[in-house]
Amino acid sequence: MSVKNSIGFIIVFLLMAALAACSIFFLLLAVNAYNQGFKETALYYSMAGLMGLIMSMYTLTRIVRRRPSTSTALNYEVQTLLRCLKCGFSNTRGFTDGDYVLGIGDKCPHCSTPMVILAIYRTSSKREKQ
Amino acid sequence: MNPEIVLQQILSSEGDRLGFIFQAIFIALFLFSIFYGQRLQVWMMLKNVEVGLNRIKRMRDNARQTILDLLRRFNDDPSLENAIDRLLEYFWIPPTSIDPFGIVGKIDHILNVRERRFRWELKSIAPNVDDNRLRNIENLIEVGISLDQIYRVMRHYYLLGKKTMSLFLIYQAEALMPTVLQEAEALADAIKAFSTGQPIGDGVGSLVAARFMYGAEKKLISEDTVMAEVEFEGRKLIVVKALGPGGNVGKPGEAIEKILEGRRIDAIIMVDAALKLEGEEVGEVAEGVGAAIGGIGVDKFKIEEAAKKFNVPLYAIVVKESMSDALSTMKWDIYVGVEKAINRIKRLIREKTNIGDTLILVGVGNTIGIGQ
Repeated sequence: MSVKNSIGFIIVFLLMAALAACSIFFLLLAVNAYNQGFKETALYYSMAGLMGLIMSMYTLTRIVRRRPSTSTALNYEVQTLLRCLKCGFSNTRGFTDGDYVLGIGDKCPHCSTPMVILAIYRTSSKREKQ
Repeated sequence: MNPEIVLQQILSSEGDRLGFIFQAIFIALFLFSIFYGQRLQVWMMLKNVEVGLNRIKRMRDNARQTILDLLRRFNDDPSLENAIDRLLEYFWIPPTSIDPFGIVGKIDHILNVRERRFRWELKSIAPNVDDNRLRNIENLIEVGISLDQIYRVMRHYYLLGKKTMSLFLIYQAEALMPTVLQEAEALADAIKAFSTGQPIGDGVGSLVAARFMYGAEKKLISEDTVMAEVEFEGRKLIVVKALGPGGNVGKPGEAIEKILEGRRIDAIIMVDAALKLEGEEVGEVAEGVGAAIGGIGVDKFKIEEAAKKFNVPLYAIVVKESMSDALSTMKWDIYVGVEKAINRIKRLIREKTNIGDTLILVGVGNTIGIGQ
């Protein structure tokens, strides 16, 4: 499926690129014709050039935009919030395997009591910000 | 060839010749659009479906690879891949609904059989894995099954559309693709949380219940479901949640039935996550009545039946979140929602019950990464 897809993509891409080039040439002709006083001819050329340019750009944008994108998975960091229930000290660190909410975490640096994990949460990812 | 001369030649040919050329081009384009326009449209739509399908395939393959990597830690057998593929294609056949009487019991039975069989299969693949991790792997495989199913169904419509070149088939597939992709992305987001045992947004109800029962003595009331009795401003609160921190939803329906049959209850409060509508904020809390529980409907049916039988009012509190939030690691906004939900529950208890009453508080949802 991927080989077929890439061949189809190249063919359409080349066709549209050729159409875009022709359209730009037509627009140049239109400018020249207008400068030389052929207003009606300039109108024909500019219409053809603009139509071709719009069509080729629209199709090119569509096919380029739907090329396989990068990973769609959320990319975020996970934090663990710990609190000492004895002295109220709070600490946030990266998530480690085995952490769970309301589980026992590291020892409190102030009173050496095991702290309780109050939250395990993720930071906003790029996809979500978009 | 001098371009100036070419330009002069083109421009010197009067309007007749140019007009003829443009008319010919116009007619050619018109005929092309009549005979091949639909085909071109179908081709463009097929390509859109194909791109979506490739994205779903990548998500499915990623899920399969994660499951494989995780299980390789416990079993290095070369046949592991085949075993995982077999699990990923596991299905269940819903009972016939021609005669709907008693269908809930039948669904419950089939799902229980499926669950037991599934756990047995997993245990045979990874015999040394602990119960919590086993539940997480089970959840991960469920995600893999869902992604595989989505991929297969969309591929079916894509290939069928390609084969028949039916505009309506392809149109339907293309129209459905954005919502299907959203669902697949939400499932793909769940992979990281399930593979590492992090709490997910769906566990908001469980977290609320866990906060109420923290420090109290707990006991198993039904399979994978715990309860604890706590006092709140003169009321007795029986708090129920799934057994954590492994990925479990427990059997809250069965638990409520058992409690109601054993003692007098004045109210049931259920807390769960609810899908937010576009425009609503994550972590918004809403209040209502009824059984706040999702899933196939077996537990909902049991709770409603039991509440009706014993004439107990059912109150519901939900924390809103999107599908992606519900399945991926919990966001901070949801923790804010948990605090709001706890305050609402306290207010509800004060307003709707009297001192000396006994209530059930059920925290519904997957308790992965949440203890008690």
